[in-house]
Amino acid sequence: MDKVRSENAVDKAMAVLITQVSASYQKQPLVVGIHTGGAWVAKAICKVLDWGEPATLDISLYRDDFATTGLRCSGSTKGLPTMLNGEQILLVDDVLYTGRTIRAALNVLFDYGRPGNIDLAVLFDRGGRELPFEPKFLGEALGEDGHGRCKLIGPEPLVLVTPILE
Amino acid sequence: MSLLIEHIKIHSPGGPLNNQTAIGIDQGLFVDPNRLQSPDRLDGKGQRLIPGLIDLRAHLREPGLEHKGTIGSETLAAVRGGITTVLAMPNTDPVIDSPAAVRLVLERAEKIGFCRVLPTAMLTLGGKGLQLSEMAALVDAGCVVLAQGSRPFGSQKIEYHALKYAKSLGVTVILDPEAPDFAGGCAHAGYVGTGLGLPLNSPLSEVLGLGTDLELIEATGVRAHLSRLTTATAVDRIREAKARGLPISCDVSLAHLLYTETALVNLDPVFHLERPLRTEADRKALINGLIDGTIDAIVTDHTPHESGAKLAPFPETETGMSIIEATLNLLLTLDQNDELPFDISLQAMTGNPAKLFQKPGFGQIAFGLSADCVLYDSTKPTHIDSSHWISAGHNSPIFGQELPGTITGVWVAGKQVQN
Amino acid sequence: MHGPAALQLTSEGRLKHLLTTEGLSKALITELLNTAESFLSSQGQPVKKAPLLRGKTVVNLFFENSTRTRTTFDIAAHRLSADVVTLDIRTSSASKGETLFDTLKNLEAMQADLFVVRHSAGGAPFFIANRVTPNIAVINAGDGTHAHPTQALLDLMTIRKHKGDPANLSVAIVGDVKHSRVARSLIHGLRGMKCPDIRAIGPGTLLPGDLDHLGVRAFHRIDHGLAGVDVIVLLRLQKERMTSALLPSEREFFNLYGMTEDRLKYSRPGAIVMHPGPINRGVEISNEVADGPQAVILDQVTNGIAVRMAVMAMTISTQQDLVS
Repeated sequence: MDKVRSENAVDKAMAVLITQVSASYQKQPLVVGIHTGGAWVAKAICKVLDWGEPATLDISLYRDDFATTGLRCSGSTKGLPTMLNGEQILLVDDVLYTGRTIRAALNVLFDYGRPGNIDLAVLFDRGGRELPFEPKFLGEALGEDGHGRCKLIGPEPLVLVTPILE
Repeated sequence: MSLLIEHIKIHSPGGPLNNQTAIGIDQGLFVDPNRLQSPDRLDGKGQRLIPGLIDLRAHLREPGLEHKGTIGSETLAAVRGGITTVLAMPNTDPVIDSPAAVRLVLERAEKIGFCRVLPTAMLTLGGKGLQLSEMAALVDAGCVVLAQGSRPFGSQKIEYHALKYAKSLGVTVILDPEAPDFAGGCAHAGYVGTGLGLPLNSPLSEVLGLGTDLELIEATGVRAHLSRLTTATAVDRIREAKARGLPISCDVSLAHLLYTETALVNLDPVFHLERPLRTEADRKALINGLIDGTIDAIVTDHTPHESGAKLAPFPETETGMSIIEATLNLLLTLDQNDELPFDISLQAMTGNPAKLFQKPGFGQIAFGLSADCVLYDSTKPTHIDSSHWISAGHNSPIFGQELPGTITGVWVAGKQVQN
Repeated sequence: MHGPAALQLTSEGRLKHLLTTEGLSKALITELLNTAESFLSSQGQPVKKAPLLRGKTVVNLFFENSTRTRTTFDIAAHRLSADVVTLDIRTSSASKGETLFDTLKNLEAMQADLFVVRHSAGGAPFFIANRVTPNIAVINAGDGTHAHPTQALLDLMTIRKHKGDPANLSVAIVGDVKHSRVARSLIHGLRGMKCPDIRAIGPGTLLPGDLDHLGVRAFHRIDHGLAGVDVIVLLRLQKERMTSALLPSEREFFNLYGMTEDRLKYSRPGAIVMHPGPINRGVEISNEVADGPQAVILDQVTNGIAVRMAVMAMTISTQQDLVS
């Protein structure tokens, strides 16, 4: 069993995140959620802001840990235009950690053409970055100490948990 | 020197000495133990003594195929299986189809063999099924029977002529029933072979071939032995033909008594045989054929190969298994599993095959007959271990198994060849 | 579980080779199809090459010619950024008398990660998987009349996409089932997916004798066989069937079993028509059906690439874990 970190952590972080996002765009960006948790968060953002269905991104073919973790498929890439050409993109993930997922996601996006501006929105930042990425929009910074592993489970309701390792 | 084997139980059903507890051996013959004067004594410790087994079908591989086995290696393997007489298949390289080749086999057997080797030769030149071989000369050279080595005759007419000619010389022939049109395939045309997508062999290949053979035997009157039946239908046809009074006998291979098509599921090339393993119903019918006397003999069809011959995808491997070395253990296994009583399988590898070459002296323990016999401990199992395997062919399905019976002594013509 | 099926799975039931669909569980097939579906989405990218298998070497071992199948495996490997080496063995070592075993040992020395094997002998990929060094995956791309598991998986993927879970479907396979590895593998795959109604339709000379053992019902009349089915799988008819006297002519086959719009009406409305390709128009299928809305033949080709990508990624992934 996973341990629930805080009952209302997700709601609070989501509200903060959505407020930031909604204040920043004159025109609706192309919202892209990274499978699986990022897609849930993107969906929640789009629902509140009435932005329709977000695009989803499967990064399993672009991961850099295939040699150690093997194949991990989560879903399909859907809703992207056949060719990106200068689009304003809001890339959404649930928990930001090393930054490797974001690296993989950027690679996928660049294999779709030439995106324009890409902003990063993240619900939780748990620190531990290994690559130079920082979110433009952040729900809650969990800090590096005392939090450790966490993950978002969903899709309904979204809950932040600490996985209990066997 | 004479020998007294005592404290044994002679098991030679139907023979005059069955259940006796001692036997004498002198000058290569069984003799009355009471007539021996100061013999060597062997304490049998309650073990069983049976007549030496006779195998009507084994590949000894000489000449030309020494990389697969030699008369030396394969006859020692035979002896370890309780066999004292082997009918050597003529499928060598070149094939045995000349008196010189027959003499070569006999000389090699004399020099390096461990048991009696009876050569067979091809009915047709080169085994090609087109021209008759010099049958009279072959018999003169020492062939007891002539065969076609599971190779097809060029036509039914050629087969007819071969049988008719053999009949006129009084030669017994061995035939391998198979219709050339239906030949080929490496798996029985049943659900296992179908599921594995292997080239299939229909039971019709045997049944149609047997039909032709029986008609030609009847037409020519030749004394014939039909080798390696695999199907229930064939057993029925033989039963009918024998009832009609045809001068025939027949055999089944050990593999077909032990295994069925399901042995192929792992695609182990050891089970790739010249005649495919068939259904459980066929196996049961073959066993019943032995029990009711329709089938006369059991053969090992021992076919040793070098390892490379089986190192390929199943259909591309060479056919046959190396099995002679465990013959007695496997007969005891069939008995232990309540499938085939040992008395019947023993008769099928002693008295019955001896009739084929009209030497009633073999296959029995009786005073005055050649002392070919096997002493074994029925209470002690044998662990079949590839590192102790004598046959040059390691294409055997029984490695790692523990089989009933342990042979403690084998005598051929009174001479102990294995202990 | 016996040999073939056991050989391709790890002790935890993960796929380390793909040799046959026989014995694959519904869960494993579903995982494969889900993976293939997620890979399918990457096929819409302008840049189709993903880096997953960068640095891996895929060796195509084709002992039997097949440009189409080989091409789909090539594309699948390339899309995952693997290096691909293709050996046409018929014209190289085999003709010089080198045995398959020796060829294999030589290839192992080249540090390959995956062999894609096509061979005319049933069981050849099992032989290779049995003998190959432990960290190399083997995918069967067709062996004799035995198996063609990637084709079966792409068929299952196509069926699932268009008609849903095979556990609720009736599937008819029409034509030369007896000589078809595609049919065998699809039957095993459908059984794995718990398909309750599998039928084979064709003349007695083209149906195997033991279909009931495979859980398949045999029909000689197409109107009976197609009644109420959701999926119709046509098989390619080889010219050899006429020369070996199993069939009188292509024309007679088409008259009895060819898929026409009229015959399509026997099946359930909206049934799909599949064919492993290449199709013989006027033999297995009429132009109208081949180009009609119920044919999903080209979709099968697209799915084929995704399935092969998924199988390559999964087997290499498992092999990596076995090493570490």
